[in-house]
Amino acid sequence: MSQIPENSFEELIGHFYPRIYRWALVITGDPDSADDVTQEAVIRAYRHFGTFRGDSSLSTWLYTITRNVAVGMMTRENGRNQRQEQISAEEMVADASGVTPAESIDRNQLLEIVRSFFRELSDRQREVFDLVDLQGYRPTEAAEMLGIDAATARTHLLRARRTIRGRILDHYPELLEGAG
Amino acid sequence: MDCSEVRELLLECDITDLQGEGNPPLGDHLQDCPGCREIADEIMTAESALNSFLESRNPSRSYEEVAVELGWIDGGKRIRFFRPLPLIISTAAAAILLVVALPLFNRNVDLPIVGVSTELRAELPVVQAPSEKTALILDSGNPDYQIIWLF
Repeated sequence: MSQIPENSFEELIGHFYPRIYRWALVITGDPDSADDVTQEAVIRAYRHFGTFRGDSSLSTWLYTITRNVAVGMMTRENGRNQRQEQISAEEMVADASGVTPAESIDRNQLLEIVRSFFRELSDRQREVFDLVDLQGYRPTEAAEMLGIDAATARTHLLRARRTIRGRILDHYPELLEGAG
Repeated sequence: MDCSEVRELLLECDITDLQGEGNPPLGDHLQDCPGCREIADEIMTAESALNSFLESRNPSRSYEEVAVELGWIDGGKRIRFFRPLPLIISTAAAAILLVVALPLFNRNVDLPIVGVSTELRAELPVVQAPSEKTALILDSGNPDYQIIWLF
């Protein structure tokens, strides 16, 4: 985690802005919705910053706001499942054509992983997996951010890993045959 | 631990285990078995790629653009936000201190000042101040209440 600036609210939010967008993207699975959620979350954080008491970390507080905004927005948009059907992993990967993922990961494999990430994992599994395994939060922190107990978060994490890693290894049957 | 057990573990284990650091038996196997090591490496590489992909996604508008639209940044000059809550809290704390402390002083109550290195009065509590701090014990006159000030 990079160091958090100590100054004004707008500097703090500037620091967290990309992370808020990423959280919103993982929760909604849709770049346009993530844009809307990010802006609304920033405004809501500004309005309620005076109520932040430091009982939790700023990350947890901002994540909770982002999540609440995202869930509210998805509810208004007639549910998450309908929107999820509109997600095109192909488009998302194509849109990230400027990205150079690790060299040993080919485009098709990344496509498959992204597809699994957004379609095969439940909301909670995706969030916990992203927070813990990809962003490096501790499982207890992720549980607090999601408002669930640590054991439940751990269960979601293990199921998410099994799904994602199973998909990864599907691309390497020769490895599985060769091992052992 | 054989390869089938390791492959099962690799599906759910922590990143540190994949790196061969968290679980000694697993780490030993990964060190000795190139096939299982390769599977662990591919999992880590793929998850790193997924993270890179998500990190590469950017909002359509930068924070600066949003901040200007919301009036938080004006013509490149950052607006400092006035946050009244800390001021309110510190004012309230000062007021409470005055309300509690002033009557004690006005009553001319004997308020012995006891440092940690001085001889303590028998009826006062013994306070071990942290290093480089001094403890002040104010006798309120009420045996149920003693005020301890560390500074």
